[in-house]
Amino acid sequence: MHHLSDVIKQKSYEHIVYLLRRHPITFIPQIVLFVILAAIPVIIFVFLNNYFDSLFTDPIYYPLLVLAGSVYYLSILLFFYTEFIIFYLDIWIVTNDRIVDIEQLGLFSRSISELDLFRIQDVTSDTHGVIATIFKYGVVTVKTASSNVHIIFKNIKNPDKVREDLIHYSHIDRKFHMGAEKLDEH
Amino acid sequence: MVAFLIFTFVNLYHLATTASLTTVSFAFTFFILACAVIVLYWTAALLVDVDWTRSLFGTNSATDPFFTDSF
Repeated sequence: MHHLSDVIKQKSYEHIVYLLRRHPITFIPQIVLFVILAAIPVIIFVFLNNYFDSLFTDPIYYPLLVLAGSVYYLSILLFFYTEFIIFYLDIWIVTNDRIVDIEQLGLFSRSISELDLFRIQDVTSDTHGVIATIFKYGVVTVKTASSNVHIIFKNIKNPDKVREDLIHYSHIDRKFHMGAEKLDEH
Repeated sequence: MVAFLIFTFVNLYHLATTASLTTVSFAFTFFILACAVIVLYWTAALLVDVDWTRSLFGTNSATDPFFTDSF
């Protein structure tokens, strides 16, 4: 079993400030989709029971229908579990030294980015929509001087607080690195 | 069923390797596995009276596409 320190190869002087995941409410569309998909065989059963009820006494079609329904339900359970994994394994780890962005893009696809805090130039937090405002989740975009590297925290809780803390820790880390550079010069 | 088990284990592997074995992931995994057990139980219960020795294309069956009346 892996600990978080193993996942990010935590350094001796490093401590974890934030472990962020997407806000749970953003998983509701997938739950609704799952409920709709689960209701489809029930609707089909009601339809067939009303208009083709002989199918349920036929020795060939009845077991085939039951097996088809079973395969369908196992498939949507698997689909739902995979969607949860993709949702839950989008992780943003903020330490006193860097940001680690782990994005699960698919079941066999993952992207991991790292950014040192002292390289942060700009942090922006966005909250759009009624639901996002009520439940206080949004997007935090972290940009560096380089246009190639930036990290986006998607649908995290309390984006304004995270933005403030990122700026605060990046200032501290920049002072630490400037002090270290001056020592090197001497 | 085999594919379901394989992909479930793959998902559990992802949870373990990303230090994501939490209460939430445990509860969700438990829910998925419980639903799978319920599906399999009801499948077995609904198919308990099925005659599995019966041929798919029985000689007297109206569903047999090759059935022809003997002369």
